Amino acid sequence: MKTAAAPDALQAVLAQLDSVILGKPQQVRLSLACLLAGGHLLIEDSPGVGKTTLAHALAATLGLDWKRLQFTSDLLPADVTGVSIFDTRSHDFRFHAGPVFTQLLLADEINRAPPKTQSALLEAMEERQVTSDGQTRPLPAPFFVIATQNPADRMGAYGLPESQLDRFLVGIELGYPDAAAERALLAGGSRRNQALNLQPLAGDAQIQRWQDAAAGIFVSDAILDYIQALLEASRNEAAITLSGLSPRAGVNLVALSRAWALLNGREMVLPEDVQSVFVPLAGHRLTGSVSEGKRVARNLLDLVAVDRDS
Amino acid sequence: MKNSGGLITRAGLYWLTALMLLTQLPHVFNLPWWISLSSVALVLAKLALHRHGSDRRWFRPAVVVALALLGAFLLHWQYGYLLGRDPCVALLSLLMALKFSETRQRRDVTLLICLAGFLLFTRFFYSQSPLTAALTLPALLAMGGCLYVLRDQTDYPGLRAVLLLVGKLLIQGIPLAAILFVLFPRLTGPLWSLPADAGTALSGLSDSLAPGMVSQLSRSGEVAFRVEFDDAPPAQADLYWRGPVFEVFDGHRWSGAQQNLLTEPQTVPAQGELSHYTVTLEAHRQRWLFALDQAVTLPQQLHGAVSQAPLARLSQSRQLLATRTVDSAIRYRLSSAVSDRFGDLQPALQRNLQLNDNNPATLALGRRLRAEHADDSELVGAALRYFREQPFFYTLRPDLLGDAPVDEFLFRTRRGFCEHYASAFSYLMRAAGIPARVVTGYQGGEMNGDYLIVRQSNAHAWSEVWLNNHWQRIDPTAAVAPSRIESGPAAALAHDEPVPSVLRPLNGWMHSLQLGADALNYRWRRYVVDFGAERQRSLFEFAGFPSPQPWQVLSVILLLAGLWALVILKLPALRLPRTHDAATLWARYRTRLKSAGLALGKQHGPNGVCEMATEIWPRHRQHFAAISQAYIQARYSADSRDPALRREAERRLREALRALPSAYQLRRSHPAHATTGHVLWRFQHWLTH
Repeated sequence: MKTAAAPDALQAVLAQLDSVILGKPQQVRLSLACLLAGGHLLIEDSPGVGKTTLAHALAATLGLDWKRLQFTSDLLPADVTGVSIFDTRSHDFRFHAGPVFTQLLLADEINRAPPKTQSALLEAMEERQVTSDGQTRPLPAPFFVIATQNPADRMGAYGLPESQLDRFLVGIELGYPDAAAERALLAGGSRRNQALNLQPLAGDAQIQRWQDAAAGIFVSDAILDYIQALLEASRNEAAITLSGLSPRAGVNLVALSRAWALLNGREMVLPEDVQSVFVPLAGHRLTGSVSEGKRVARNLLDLVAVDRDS
Repeated sequence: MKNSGGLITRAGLYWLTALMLLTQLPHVFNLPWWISLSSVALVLAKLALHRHGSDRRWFRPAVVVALALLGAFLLHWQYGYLLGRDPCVALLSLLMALKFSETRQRRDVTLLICLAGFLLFTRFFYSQSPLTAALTLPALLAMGGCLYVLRDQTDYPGLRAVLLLVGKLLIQGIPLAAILFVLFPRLTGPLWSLPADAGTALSGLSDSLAPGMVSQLSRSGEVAFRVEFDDAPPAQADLYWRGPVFEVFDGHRWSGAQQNLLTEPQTVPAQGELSHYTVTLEAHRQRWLFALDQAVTLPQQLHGAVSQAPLARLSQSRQLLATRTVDSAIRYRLSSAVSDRFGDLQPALQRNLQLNDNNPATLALGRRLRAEHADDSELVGAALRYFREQPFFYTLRPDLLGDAPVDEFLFRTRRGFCEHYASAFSYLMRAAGIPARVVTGYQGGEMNGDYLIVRQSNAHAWSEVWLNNHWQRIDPTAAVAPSRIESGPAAALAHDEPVPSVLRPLNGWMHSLQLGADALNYRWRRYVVDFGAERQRSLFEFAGFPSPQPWQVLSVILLLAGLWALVILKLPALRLPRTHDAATLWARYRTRLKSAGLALGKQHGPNGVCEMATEIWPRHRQHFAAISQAYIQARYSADSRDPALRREAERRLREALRALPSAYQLRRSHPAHATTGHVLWRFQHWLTH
């Protein structure tokens, strides 16, 4: 994949992320694209492969303020969104914002929390606001959630239902680093410390500009045809999918493809952009498991013709 | 050719070789065998040496010049002269092969193609039949192929593609050629005429008659002339086509006398029914024309000239003599009164009584007949009775006759063909004091649809005697073998005599095939070869423009040519809707790559295709990149919404596609390509396209 063509500022961001997250350029780019498309990221992987480091690095590099929330079985919705407490001095309720009031939220092991708590977070992700005691409070912009779940750890966990998985724009696995990257990892110091000490390369305004630029990337009729064909195939090929992709998934695919094209420094979306983002976008929505869904999504790509005439 | 520099590629050389061989092919029939053989040998030697790169060493200028001089010398030795049609065509053929042998540069090719075109054209000096025209077609295809391949040597699309293209161009050119053929002003006479080659023999009647000459001619199935009658043709027994008339007899051989030409054709009113007809006479290198007895008008030429002067004049012995020898086929019209007798105001009776004394027995018989019959008519009847009653045989294989041929024939052998009977009868009449002469020509013919074919096998000889103040035709052959006149020579031969194949009546499909081929040939000649000023004028008259001005003809030609260009060349205005959009072009490109051996899936997008192709053919990296880029521009960029910008991108895509080598060439340079699998691949390629 050609990455050299990204705009200079984005290129610098990617370079800095790559220097901390070793050997995972594809995942780094997908995370960034997810952010630029205004979506949220789901990382499915075992502990210790660098999920937190990725969140740190992203937050630090983009100059976002961020919070981390470890989901546990006794976590309540109010622990996420915040709670109103009666202030004895002012004689009214004062809202104590929960950890969700941040620009980047790392929701660790989201499947450990009970469904009520999960849905409080997912609602906040979708609406970008929190309603408490009849009062609606907007979340800061940009608002970006990185949720992680451990696929190997099913006991006492509440797996996210498909309807909620659909709200994550991108689902990725980090996986173990390759030999060279792992060697460098061993030789270097703590990645998390490094990540925390990174120089911010962008700010809110810059991110907003990038998001606007991504939304302005040209999508031709041919690409829309192709995306439609992919959606249709996901619904018709019942033999390989559990459930078809939703129209929301289609809209997300267009947005993510645009962000991907922006990352690749292009002014228009190419079939290759759609193909690059299709697997991480569709994987977790098609089967409920990222690793299983990736395989299904790849099969779908092979089934659908890029051009109508071939 | 835009760029005339540089060497010829291998493909170009193969095409030129094909052109050289195919151009020589039609000439195999009219050139000495050693010319064709050495020309072909030179061409093949050049090809073989070129493969080893040693052709330059062998075909040095000195060698080529020496070979050319040797060829000219041999030709002079073969023909005895050099400035004539045959040796010149032979020399051209040889020189073209020599030029090819030393050709290395592309600039030589133009000359070579011109030479080939001229050599091809010379074939029509010999024959203008449909078969000859058909034989030039392969060479025309090869010529087009050469022009195409040498125009741009970098991109050779393969044999099949070139043939298809050239074939298409030739077919597209037909309407334009037809327009020019019909409308372009015809010259009323030839600009130059071909020098007649003295060495070439043509069959036909000759200017003297000796026993055996007509029977020899009868074995030939060649066509002497063809006739179209305006009305119903006369009866078979009346079809006496008058040719040379012989009045002088030296005892062995009949010959013509010095003739005064008559100024008026009809000196005596003719008797008999009038018949109007058109004769197409094949070349026979003699001056006489043939007419049904008796011609009452002079022949008017139809082909070529629009002149009002008659083509020929009548001689005193009623022979049609043209002003020139008939060296190429001519067409003429005339009218005849169908009759076996005609008057003569100035009969040269003395000449027709001339005798010599080396046939004494015949002289004696003549005198005896004269003594017995005072009346000329009775005498003639008695002589014919003599032929009928004595055991005379009509045969194609008469016995050889010695010093007194008439005596020997009349009293000893009694086996002969028509010339024996005519000659003996005329001599007998002269011996009896009745002026008589021998007329040669053709008798009968075969109707083929609406026209009559008269062949050399219809050659005949008969007598004319001066009876009751007019010339009366007497055919002694009819007395001996009446079926000769009724049904043709084959029927008249004795049953035990083997009939030559040309005389044998053909039955069934063979015969109808022969007649069908003759009809095709005849119509080709009539409507294509003979399309001259006269026919063109009648065409203009038919269209309502009896004598159009040159500028009128020119504007009609330009108008039709413009229409042709609009339809065939698809001028830009007409071309737009037919151009293919980017998606179609891209689909074709994918097919091309796939047939070249690239394992493309339908999921591969423009950049993926470019990367995969570049991996296999790194040499064409830039082509692949340009194609994908133009395609992206036309189909995925914002330009795809703007018709003008999209067309511009599509144009660039087409250009980029043209620059890429063909599937065949890509396949050849595919790393996995092995020669063993090549044939199989060609087959598969052919199937999938």
